[in-house]
Amino acid sequence: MREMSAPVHASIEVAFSDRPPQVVSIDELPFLIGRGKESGNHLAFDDMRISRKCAAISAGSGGLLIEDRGQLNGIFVNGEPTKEKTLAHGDRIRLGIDDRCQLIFRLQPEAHSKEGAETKLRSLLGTWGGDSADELKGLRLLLEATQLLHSQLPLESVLATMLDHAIVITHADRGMLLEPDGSGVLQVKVARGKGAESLPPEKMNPSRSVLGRAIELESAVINEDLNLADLNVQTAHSVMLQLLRSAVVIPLYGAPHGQVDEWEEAPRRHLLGAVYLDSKRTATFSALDRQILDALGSQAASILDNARLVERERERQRLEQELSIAREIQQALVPQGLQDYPHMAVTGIHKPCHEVGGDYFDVFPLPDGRTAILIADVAGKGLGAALLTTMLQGALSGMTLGVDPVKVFNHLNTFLCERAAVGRYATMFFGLLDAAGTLEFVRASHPPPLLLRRGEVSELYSGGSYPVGLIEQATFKAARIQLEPEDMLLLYSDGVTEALDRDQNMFGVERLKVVLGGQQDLALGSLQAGILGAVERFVEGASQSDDITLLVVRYRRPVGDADALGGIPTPEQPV
Amino acid sequence: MTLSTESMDGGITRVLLDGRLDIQGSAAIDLKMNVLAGSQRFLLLDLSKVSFLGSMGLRSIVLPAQAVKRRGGKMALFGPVPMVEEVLKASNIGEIIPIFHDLDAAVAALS
Repeated sequence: MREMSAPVHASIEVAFSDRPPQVVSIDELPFLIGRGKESGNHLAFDDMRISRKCAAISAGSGGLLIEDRGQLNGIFVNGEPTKEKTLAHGDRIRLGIDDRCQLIFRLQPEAHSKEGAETKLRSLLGTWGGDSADELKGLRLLLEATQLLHSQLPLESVLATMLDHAIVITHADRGMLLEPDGSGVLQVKVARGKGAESLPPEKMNPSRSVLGRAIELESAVINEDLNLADLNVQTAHSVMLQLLRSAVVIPLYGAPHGQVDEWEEAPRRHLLGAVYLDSKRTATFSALDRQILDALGSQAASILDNARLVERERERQRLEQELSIAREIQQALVPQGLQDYPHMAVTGIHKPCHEVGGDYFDVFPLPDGRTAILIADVAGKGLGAALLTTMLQGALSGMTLGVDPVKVFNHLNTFLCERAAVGRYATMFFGLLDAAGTLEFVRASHPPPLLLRRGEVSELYSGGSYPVGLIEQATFKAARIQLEPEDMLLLYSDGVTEALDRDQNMFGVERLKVVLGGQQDLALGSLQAGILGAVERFVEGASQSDDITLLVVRYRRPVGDADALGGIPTPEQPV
Repeated sequence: MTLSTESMDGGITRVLLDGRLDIQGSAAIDLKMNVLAGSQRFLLLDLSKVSFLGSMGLRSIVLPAQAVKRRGGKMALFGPVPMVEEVLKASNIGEIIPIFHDLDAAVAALS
């Protein structure tokens, strides 16, 4: 094996039990270790236990080796007295007989940069000799390197390096990696020329006939001088374009994932793609060993398979990230620390599910002294739903300027229906409670809030209403109801009533009514906690599939206009 | 969630849905429903095997119904279980797309 030409990323960890830990990178060879800097030591100790000339690390045939340069009582590698030894990752080097004086040799997986990773790959490629045994070793190294580097290297460059490698082994002019597109036709994804040159994939024109044959045979195909007699006129055309190249095609098959039922017929192997190598010279590939092609094929398939697995994992992470953005948006919209008003007390909670639903609630004062109470549920989940909730909030905040809620609902409906591509709609309940207890409300297909009056529970309304943003012709209208002092309203999203237990039974509105019934005197926070607890007991640990939102309002008593308008919010009086 | 179709007399296509019409269910049928809405004039949507109708599922029914209507066709809903019918009624969808529990009546409404 040749000596490593590229710098090896190695370091020494100073692990003296009586000194602060320190990591020194080996940037220069030989790398000298000893007491004081005067002797030219790269790792210099101010420690009498260490000799001036202690040890040196230099390049050897099998990597880096350490030699004793005169340490008192010698040096020990992994406990063995050592004069000279090739170092492996993790080797512990003791200087002298003091157990506390330990160094640890570290080989870095690679610097955390694309360049560094590529350099590592190139240096591995550079270690091959001329015979096939070395080539196979090189392949194995490459595969190991690829696995190490997955997380840092763009996948396309892993694949490009794999091709460069195949070109070197086979002495081809060009190499291509093909993968099936949506309809199963192999398309060139990456193309490389000699000397790691990047070629435009769309300009490549691999011979479809040779590709077809390799896939039919499920095995590597070597096509010397592309015997024209074998091919029909149509396929011969593409061969002509290739200027009579000779070619090698290696189909790549994935390892079966999951278990295969032995009684079933063996499934057709999963085609991941193909490596296509060609050369303008004829007979380039005639001497190629079948064993090498098979090894190349299985290694390339493994790399491609892993690369795509990593890609799917990254996609999953991207989705997770999207969800966390959605969660942040939603949390930012929900009012923090609801305040009470002279004429009403209020509390609310929003429990997002994992995928993040589109629930949203708000309570805000209007200039005319009334208090707006709002709950909305956007259809669907994830970032799309969260974004629409932000839009709803923006539109509804217009009401603080005194805009008629019915007009806002109608406008929102038209706006969303005209932009059908948004593809989302919402159910909403919007109420306005004045100091005298009059509740004016507009509903848009939202489940009716429950009214608790003198211990009895009823639904605030019955019958249907259109959601906002689904039906263009929909119109909305306001209704009124007179509340009595101590009346309570429970606004909820369908995540509460549609909560499922392990047997897929729904919590349902009747259970909700039972929990609420007779709880007239309970403080709002306790009532809310009681409802959540009842839902949790019902689902018995089944995972929450939709957002759960509750908003509890108690109308206290009529208040003079002045109180309601300029009144400072007061905490709820204990009852 | 599965979707299957059968042709009935009078140029009516009966669309049988089977399963939960939640987010996953609606994603599974959306494309097929749109193709049907774009190619058929009279659609009888058989909901008798739909056990749950969520908000995205509602959308999967309403948007194709409107597309059919724009092209001069009709859609009718047949046989929803009580939970599903409740959702349809709560959102006033019954006023846009007629709901039937009698197959002959549904066919008559489409003819």
